[in-house]
Amino acid sequence: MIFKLAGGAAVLIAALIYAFEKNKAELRRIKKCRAVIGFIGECKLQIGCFSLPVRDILDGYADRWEGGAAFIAEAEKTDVGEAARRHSRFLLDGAEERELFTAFASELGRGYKGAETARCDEYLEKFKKLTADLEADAASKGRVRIAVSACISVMAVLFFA
Amino acid sequence: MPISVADEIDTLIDGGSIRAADISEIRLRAGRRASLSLDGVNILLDTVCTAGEMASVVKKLCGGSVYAYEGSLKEGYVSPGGGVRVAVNTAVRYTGGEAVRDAVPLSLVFRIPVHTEGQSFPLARLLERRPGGMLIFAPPAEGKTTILRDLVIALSGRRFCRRVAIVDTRGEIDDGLIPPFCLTDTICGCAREEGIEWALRTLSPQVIAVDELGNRDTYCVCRAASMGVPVIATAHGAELEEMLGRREISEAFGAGAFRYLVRLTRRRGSMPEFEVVTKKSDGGIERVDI
Repeated sequence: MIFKLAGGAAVLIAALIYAFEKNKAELRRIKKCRAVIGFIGECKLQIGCFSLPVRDILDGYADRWEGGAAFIAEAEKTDVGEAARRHSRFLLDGAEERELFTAFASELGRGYKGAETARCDEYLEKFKKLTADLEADAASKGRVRIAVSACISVMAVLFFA
Repeated sequence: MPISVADEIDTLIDGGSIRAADISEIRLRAGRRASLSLDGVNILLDTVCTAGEMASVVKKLCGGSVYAYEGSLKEGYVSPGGGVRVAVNTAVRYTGGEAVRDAVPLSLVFRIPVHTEGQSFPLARLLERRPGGMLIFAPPAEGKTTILRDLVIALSGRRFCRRVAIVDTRGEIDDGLIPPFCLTDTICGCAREEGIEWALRTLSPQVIAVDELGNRDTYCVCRAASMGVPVIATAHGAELEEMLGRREISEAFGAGAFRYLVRLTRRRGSMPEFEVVTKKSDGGIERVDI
């Protein structure tokens, strides 16, 4: 009996850990999207107000982007688009946002000030919409995930008890 | 420069068809063949650049930030450094009656500077013997800016030691090419008229150097001369008669703001030739031997 209860508790704990890890992964994905939103916002500000060159924007932002240091270091040395292609899988967790960020970085710096700030606005909108969708998903799925995991564990315990 | 163009030029140099030192211009054209200019001779290359390659070249010239060079690009040029000047030809749109240049280049002209040392020494020696303003003129791509830079270095260097203020509107005269021992102060990026005014007010120059003088700028030259500061300038022009036919230049010369008019003739690989004239006391013109 004790072993059955212990086994049931282990299943319950495993299920809950799985649910929490999935939730954490989704929250991490959202956090990374927000970090990119911060970076694009900074680009828009520096270009719009000061026409600051891309290299200087990167240099000034290096300390403010947790996880972006390697991308910034390579972008400063080579090309922003190329650096984004190589580092997007570390910067962002989802395929959709990686593609968006790579497209943004490839086009960064090609045009005059007006076009650059308009492009920053465009990608900010896209990233904000994507992040909002992820947040809505995470909120609804998170609760369901925990509840389902708990139910399955209890059922498993009852079945084997 | 696209790799295909660089490779083709290297092949020509390695094959002995041309010498790298003779190249004065490289032209890239979107959708058309690139070309070289050597001492007035144009050579068509086989390479055709795409619009995308041209845009990438401009982006690289601007250090990855085209918008940071928006001011100069809208004037039709970018100066990436080292005395190289790149003319950027784009389509022009009219928005609200104002001409606006596109960011997409149709053609790029790389003007390669020739490094001269001491070739303007005869002019520097003349200015030391008989100081005064000087206008150096020649058709485009004859090396006026290069000679002006060399003259600035000579005048501000160890031998003549003059304080020279450089009004460098397009960043082509200085651009890191003036040695550190020269007594120069550079006002970079501003209009000639304002630059001359600022130099007079703040830098106490003994000489002012300015490139590509326009007709409207001669007023400032006269003002500087009236304050005892000679101006050395360059201007576009093929013949002396043509220069004297321009009212503003003629007036500045007549008033003594320009003591010397210098016709520059130069072929790559040979020394430049200076034809110097000055005004006689009776108002005529005489040639000066230097």
